[in-house]
Amino acid sequence: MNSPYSNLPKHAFWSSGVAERAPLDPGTLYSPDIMIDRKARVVTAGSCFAQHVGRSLREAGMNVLDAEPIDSAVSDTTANQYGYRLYSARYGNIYTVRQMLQLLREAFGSWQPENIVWEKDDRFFDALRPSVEPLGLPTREDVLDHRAEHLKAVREVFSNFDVFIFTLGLTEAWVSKGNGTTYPTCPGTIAGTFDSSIFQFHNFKYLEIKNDFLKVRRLIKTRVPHAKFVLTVSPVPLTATASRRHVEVATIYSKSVLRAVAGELSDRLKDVEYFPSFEIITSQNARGSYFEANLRNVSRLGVETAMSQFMTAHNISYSPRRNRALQAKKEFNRNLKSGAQDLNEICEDLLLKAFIK
Amino acid sequence: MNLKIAIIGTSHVAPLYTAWNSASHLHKNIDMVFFAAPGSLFRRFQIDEKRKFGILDSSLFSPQDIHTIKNTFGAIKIDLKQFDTVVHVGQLSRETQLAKLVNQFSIDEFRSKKGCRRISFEAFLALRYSLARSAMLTESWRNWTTSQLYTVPAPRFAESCITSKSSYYAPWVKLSAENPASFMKDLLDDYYNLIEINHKENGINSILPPDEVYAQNGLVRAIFQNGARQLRENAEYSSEDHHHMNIQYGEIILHRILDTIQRN
Repeated sequence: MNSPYSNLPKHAFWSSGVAERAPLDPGTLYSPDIMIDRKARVVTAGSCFAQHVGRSLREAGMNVLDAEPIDSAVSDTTANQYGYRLYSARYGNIYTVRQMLQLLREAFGSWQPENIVWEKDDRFFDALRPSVEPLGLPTREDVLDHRAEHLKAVREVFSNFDVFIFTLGLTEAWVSKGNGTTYPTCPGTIAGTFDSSIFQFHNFKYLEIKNDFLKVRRLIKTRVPHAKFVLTVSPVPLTATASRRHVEVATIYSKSVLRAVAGELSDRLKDVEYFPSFEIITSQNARGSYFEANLRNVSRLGVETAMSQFMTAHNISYSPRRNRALQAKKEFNRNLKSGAQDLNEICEDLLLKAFIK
Repeated sequence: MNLKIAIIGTSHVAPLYTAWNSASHLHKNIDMVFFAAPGSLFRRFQIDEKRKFGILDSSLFSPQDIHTIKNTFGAIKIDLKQFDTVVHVGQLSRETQLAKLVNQFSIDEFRSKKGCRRISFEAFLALRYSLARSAMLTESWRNWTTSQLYTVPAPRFAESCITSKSSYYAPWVKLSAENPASFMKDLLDDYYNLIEINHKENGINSILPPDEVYAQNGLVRAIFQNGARQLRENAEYSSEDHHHMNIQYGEIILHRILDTIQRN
């Protein structure tokens, strides 16, 4: 009997595509339409998981741009603590598409955020990237001056590149009631004070996220017409939710919305690709092995499995073990204790854990 | 009873060796043994848990390297546990990376430089600390319970490097051109103090040169560079080498080493 399913490949069926795959065999979930080669100038941004993406790309020898570099003799741990070597500029984690849009608008001079200097213990923090100066700066003016310099770097990097790999992280955010400035953290966690007359919670909806991304794309395309986009969804669950739902329910809601937006955009737009890191990491086939014991952080194995799929699909040789050996050699040459290198990501939202009763 | 001292290290051992050859007759109670190799080879030497040090796995070294070490010292490894004191000479301090770091930034409250990216003072301190950590001797050298371990870092560059045309010294040329001498001296003194503190916290004592060897900008005075000779074949270093020092420098450091060891 003829059926639309009768001639489909094995991967179209759950039994042969997933259940019969050997445990931890990631299968082939990614066949990109947009190919990226080693020479492509890549910009990365996004939520915590995007740090793994950027690191893996750099380890594979890809041309990941860095407009705010730091000397290679500085350890990754220290560099990362101050926002270096995480992304293509020191913008820290960008959890929501609205944040990305606002950053680009601000950098290119078409928008001004509000309430961006937060205070704690007489030190001042850039509310839009509070983790890049973990001890804050001495004055408000310093924060604004540093930010102005950082925006130059953002302009530079987003004016001259080939591929933008953006990891969608969250739908939940804290925004200002005035002009909707969207912050990466809730006021009062890293710095600042929560004032309900100034700030409010916002859970971004499907259409808002989709439209925000389209605006990001348009803004970039006016400067870099050939730019291509790779979207991923972070598999890292929420540390906490302000949605009044159970955190697990809120996580699935958030990831589902982001995944749906990424799906529609990549289906509809020829210059947008979706990389299914979310599916690879959270696959039932992995039986939870791609997460650390806290069931939240993605394990080294998970990162390597997902990124191996990415590299293989783009014909880029990638050997995490070899890279680790090279890294160890590099560390040895730095006369550092081996193993000091860790795979932890800098996650501002982890600070929310401090509020668990 | 004789005091047994092992001096191990890189090419920077050469001036100490020469100085010792001239002074050993004055220290009959000291049995000093040298075990050294050019930095590129020395940094590949291995140390095991019994503190045997040198070429432990011959397959990792070229026959020529093995031959050179065996010919010079009569053995390809040394048993460091046989010594009361071990002095590790020539550890690189990564001060050129420090110079590059400073050149790269306008540092709040520290160095204002137009056209450079800004960095907070706290971030600079953290980055500097990271560099200092990377200049430490590795785990196997830390917290020894038998034998005293001292480290004598490789000399700072000679002050003549600031006129060098070589790209190798370019960070120093730039640092010196853009900052007062006192800034450079403080920068270097603070950095070396930081490494010394890090070593101390890990059971390693540092022996640092006295202030008299330094010029106003904190680099080694040019008189200590003239006539520096190589470890092998005793050939003189080229005039474009600003890192290797002469016997006068060696005498000062040797005196410092002996003084420190005998005091302790």
